[in-house]
Amino acid sequence: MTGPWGLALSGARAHRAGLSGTALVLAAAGAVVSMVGVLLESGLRAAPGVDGGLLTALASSYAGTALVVVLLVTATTVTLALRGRRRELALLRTVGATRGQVRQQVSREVLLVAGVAVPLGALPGVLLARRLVPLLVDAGVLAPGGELAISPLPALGAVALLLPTALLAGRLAARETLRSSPTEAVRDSAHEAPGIGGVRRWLAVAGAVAGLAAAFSPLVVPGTIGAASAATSAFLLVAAACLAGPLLVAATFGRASRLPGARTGAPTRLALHNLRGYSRRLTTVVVPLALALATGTIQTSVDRSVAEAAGQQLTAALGADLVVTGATTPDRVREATALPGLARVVPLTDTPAEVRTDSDDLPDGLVWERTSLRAVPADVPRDVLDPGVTEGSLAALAEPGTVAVSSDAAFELGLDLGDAVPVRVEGAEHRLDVVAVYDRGLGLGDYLTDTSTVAALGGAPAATTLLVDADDPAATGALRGLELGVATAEGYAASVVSADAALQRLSTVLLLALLVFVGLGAATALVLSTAGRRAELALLHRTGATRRQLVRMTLVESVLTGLLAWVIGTAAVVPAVVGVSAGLLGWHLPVVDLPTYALLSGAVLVTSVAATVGAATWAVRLPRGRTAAA
Amino acid sequence: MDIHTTTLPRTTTQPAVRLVDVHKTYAGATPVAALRGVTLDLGRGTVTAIMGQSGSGKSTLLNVAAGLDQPTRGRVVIGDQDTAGLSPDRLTRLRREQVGFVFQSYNLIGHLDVRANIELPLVLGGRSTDEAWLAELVGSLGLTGLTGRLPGELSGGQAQRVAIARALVTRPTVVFADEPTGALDSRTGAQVLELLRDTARRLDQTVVLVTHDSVVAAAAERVVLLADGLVVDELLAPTVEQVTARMLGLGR
Repeated sequence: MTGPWGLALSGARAHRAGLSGTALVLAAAGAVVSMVGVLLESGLRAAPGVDGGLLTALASSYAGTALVVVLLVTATTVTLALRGRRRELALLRTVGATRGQVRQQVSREVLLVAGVAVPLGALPGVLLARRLVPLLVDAGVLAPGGELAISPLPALGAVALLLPTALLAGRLAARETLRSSPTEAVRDSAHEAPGIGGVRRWLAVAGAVAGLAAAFSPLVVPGTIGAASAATSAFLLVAAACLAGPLLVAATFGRASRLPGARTGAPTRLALHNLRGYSRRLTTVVVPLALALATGTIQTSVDRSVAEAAGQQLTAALGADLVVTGATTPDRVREATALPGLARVVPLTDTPAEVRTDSDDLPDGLVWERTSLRAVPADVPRDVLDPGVTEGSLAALAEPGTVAVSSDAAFELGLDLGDAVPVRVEGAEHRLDVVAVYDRGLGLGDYLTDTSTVAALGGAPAATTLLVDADDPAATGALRGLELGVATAEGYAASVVSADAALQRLSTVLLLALLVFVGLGAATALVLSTAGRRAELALLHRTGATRRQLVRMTLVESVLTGLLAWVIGTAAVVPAVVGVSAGLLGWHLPVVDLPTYALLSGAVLVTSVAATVGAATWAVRLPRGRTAAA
Repeated sequence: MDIHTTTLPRTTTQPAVRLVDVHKTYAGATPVAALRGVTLDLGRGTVTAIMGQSGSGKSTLLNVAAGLDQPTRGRVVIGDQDTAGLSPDRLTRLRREQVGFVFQSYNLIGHLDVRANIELPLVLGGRSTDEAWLAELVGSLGLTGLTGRLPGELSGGQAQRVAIARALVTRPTVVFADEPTGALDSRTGAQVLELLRDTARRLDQTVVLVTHDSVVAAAAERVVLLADGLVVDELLAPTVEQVTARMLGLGR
């Protein structure tokens, strides 16, 4: 049992309880990353029966959030697992371990745990992705009978991503012990430095500034892109709050711990002192909890804002009395148009197409985005359909080979009037000239052309919507008689927004998977940190605290921890929600998914209290041993 | 393993450890000046006891002299190496090669057994264990039969002796000991002290120990008395009575 690997092995063995929690989180992280990997790989490979473009878009938008969350939770867990080892690492230094040796010891242990846990977790991750197949089929991403690509790549990707993260977190956690002299390190391992270093302070400020800038980017960047970038602000702000954590805690509980008068019970007083004295530990525990609240709330709120904005735009764009759906063939369209009592009928025909979003030489799934070309008559009156043209004119669509693009698409692709858009219809590539830019892309879609242009491209129209002005109230009945869907503009807008129920369900399941992971991370963090306090709890017990008092003390701590996480999570989400809402809907009451927010708020508190008090009850019950001389 | 004893030049003029105007202030809300200008030469092959009341700076002096802590001001020279400006890792290596340290709180690693704890400095230095020397240390420190135990399964005195074995296993040129007999009854304490002195003589080691015990101090060739971070007195070849009297004098 000599040699550095022997030391690492024995260290891992001795701390197996703590490391098994870390291993669990690392395995779950491996599962999430490999699940995303399977979706992404399948999208990029675009095998028959797989809508590569849509799956790639879905997987990559999920991957953004998932990876940030996974990396933050992984780093937090590793940091926390090593926190309890500070004294041991400091002792190694007094015995003559160089800083490099301590770093290596930490890296070896992290490698031992992550090297086993991540690949083990990656396997269930692949199975998890396969469980999504029915949902993917429902959402039209996979054709019935379609299969996801299965290869070792997602598992390798998970290892390649998580191992360096865990190692880096280990290094950063060991840094505290390595910064000071050996004796100082031993002394400091018993308590925590209250302040934070200069680098950390600047990173916190930078994170906060970047977060706020991202939150309000929808004011500059239009549409869904702006909304997506605003959503990232929540993560930046949570990260900034964690970096500034010890200062925030000192500011919050520093005063509070002096506040209680003589009437406050001992458990509460002790709890307040503990929170203030161990602000770093508290910060680490708060991260996953705040992250869960922020992720869930922002994700669902952005979805709702986008849906609401789409509905609003559609309602504003449609001036016709009625919207008729279900006329799937030209014959049906003619039948409907021929009905008596209709003053005006404007057909909107959707043709599936792909638009090249990137000129780089990348796989098809990454550069060709699936969309549809919506054909409208170039001379459509404003009072029937108003896309909100900001540049150029819709009338110019009469010229063949032209297109009008939404301001979102114009921004994303960097298009101006006169530029050409590469479009692929039925496998053939064409270039369409931009003749107009309009505002209401969320409601109407990103590309409008004239009917003649689509016909020239040889596209097969998928569906036609008729905008109808009816003189005669009986016309509605007549249209219904043809088994067509008839709705008012508002009714149609509402139905379009909620139509993608299958896609919604898919994204809810994906979000839920992520939240389960974060919850696991949060619970592990709480259990780890509470279990790591056995010596402290035993000391208080020896000093005269009853077990009951100790459990009550941790209860108060856990409630305050949950509250702090709730406050940080909420504060991190507010700018994003306001920004998304303002960017998409203008300045008015921001759209928040309140039920989700309430549910997650409750979950944050319950997780905090249950995990902490559970672990504390266990910690104070077990007899003490084996620490007398250490 | 005898390299250290044979290659180091035996010059009485050059001390094993030299401190020149050493200051040490602990930063904090209220900075604590633990050492306020200590100048001290610790001669090669000598046994020096450092005494003083609680808070006089004894442990700090020991930590700084051993290179465990950096002085705020002043110079510390170990052997012929000035520690000022050494990188933390160079300092650690110097310490590992030349210094043995017996900590007051033992500083044993909880999950390593007694043997692994004793061998730790050798493992860290990438050196192999001299089994004969290890057996001798274990035997003379009364640790036979305990080498498979974990620190948590040892009594305070046993843990203390493991800490001493760990400090001596590398055959350091200087051994620092912070209250090495503090946790021991007087008979075991006397044995441990005898062992330290014996080993020091055989390996031509310099021994510096902090103690409260006049009897222990009187066994040293020289007693240095510390008060408020300054050297206030010194006794050469002291008797127990002399030491006790001086200590009482400090208390006044």
